[in-house]
Amino acid sequence: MQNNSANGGRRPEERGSRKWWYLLLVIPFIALLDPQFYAFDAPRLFGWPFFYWYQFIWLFITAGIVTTVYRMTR
Amino acid sequence: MPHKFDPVALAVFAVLFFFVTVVGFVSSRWRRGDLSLLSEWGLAGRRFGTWVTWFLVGGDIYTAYTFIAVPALVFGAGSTGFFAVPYTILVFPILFFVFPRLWAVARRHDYVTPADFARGRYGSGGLALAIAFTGILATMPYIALQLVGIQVVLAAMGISGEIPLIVAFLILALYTIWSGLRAPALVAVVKDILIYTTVIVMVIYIPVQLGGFGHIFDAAAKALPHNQPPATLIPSSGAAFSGYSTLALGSAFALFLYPHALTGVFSAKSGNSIRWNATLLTTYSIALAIIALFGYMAIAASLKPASSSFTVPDLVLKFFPSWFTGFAFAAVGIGALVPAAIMSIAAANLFTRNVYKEYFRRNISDREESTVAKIVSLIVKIGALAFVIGLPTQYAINLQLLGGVWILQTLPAIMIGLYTRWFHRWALIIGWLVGMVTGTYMAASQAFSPVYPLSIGGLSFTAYAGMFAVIANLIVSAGLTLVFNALGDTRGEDETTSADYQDIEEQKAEPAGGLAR
Repeated sequence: MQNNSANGGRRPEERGSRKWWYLLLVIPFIALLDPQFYAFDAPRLFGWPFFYWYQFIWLFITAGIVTTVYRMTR
Repeated sequence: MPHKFDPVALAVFAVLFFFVTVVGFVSSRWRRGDLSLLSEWGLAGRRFGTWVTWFLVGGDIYTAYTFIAVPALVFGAGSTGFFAVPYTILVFPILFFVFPRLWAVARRHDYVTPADFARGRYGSGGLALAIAFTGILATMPYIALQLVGIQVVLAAMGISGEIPLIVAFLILALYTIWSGLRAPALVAVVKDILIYTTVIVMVIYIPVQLGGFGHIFDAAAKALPHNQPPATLIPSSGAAFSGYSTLALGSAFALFLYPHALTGVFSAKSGNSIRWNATLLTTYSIALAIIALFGYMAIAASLKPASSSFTVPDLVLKFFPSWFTGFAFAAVGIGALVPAAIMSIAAANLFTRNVYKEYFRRNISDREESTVAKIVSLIVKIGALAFVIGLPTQYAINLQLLGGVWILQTLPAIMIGLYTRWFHRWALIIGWLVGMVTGTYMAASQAFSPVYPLSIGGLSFTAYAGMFAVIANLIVSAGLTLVFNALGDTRGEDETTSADYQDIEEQKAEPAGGLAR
């Protein structure tokens, strides 16, 4: 990935194409908004039912997504 | 569990409390500014970088009440209480995407409150008043609940009566007046060290004592169906699913509409400080998810707390020696002071800017503006204290729940207003009113349970009352916008331009020194 910020900002069309990265922010909503898809006891991980560890892991995935969008759009 | 007087725990608690009091007063000298200006006292000069913003917003969101109430909910209602986790996950994309825009326009026009923005964007004093009123109304019971948090840990150390609570309150009130937003920002650092240490120790030690997480979850699965009303470890009905997800979604949208959370946004020094925080705040959510599980640990430990508020205090008392109990309880107590200070500052900013200045003293001086704010911050706290002492705790809890429903009704004017001015100002006011009434009615009709089973023509759908209310709000606002537009030109002035909402270009153009000014 090239970084143009050193020479005083990007050209407008370049900024426009970077806006697509914001779409990634929708993923956590899709993953979490219907509990029907993760409301199960099995499989367990370290004793945690799936329902609990699935949501816990999404904390980290969402942090990763937000960081990615931050890096790609600034 | 009976609560005996515990001098060792109390001594540790008192020492830590004294320490943060000193920090609170000394903080007035930190990044010194003229505290007789509202933007210095109430927003610390908009100079907080990424890390201070992290502590401040974290202190705002993960409060003493969170520490007490979330495990209490999980203890009683099982999986439903875990909605707090998807809720705080979904907050981050919203914070990242939406709020740098609000920060940018607020900085450009010296907005101190969300109502300032509504006024500038729609040219409507009435809309600003509605937003300010909602903000103050939603914040007051929240402050009261922080004091309830202090009350609970004091009671768990065997201290009853109102005097200790009043002492804690006086400390809070004095350093807020003295140092403004700088005080909770610095105290939040101490608070977080205490809270993270407590959470880490508890989550390692207690499961080992109880035979591992598998055993904890199994014990909860066995016990929860016997609760009144029956609860489950894993949600299993359609109503439970839709209640769970709408609560998470509605709360996520509501969070940064609260005036105290916006104070954290406005006091940041750049849009990128806010963007970074959308990632960094994850650490608090990890802690919150663990805190929620304390509810199941209490079940597995066969605790029978006198009221569910004592779930976490009793868990600490059962497993830890007195000195650690004092440490953990101080974490909760100090965790109450930080948000209570920020909330009272936010409510004071709203009253001063959008009620007093707007309707009583048009040409108020800067000095008078900040003096009024300081006095109002005190009145707000006295009100919260009177509330806690004079009325049953349940009232504060019910009102805080309604607060979430209410604050969500400012979403069309504030959050959508950042992107489009399509809505008519009068339509927004009427839509707001419809949302307020609908939401209040729905929550009250369910004995202040947040979810409402709506049935239209035989079809039933269960969801968060705030969601139904904001949908009603949006439909009315949109419909009336069309009507008012057809009736003639009555739209107000917009003092903002589309460039005001961009923060990135500006940072490139302006040297770093300019931002810190």
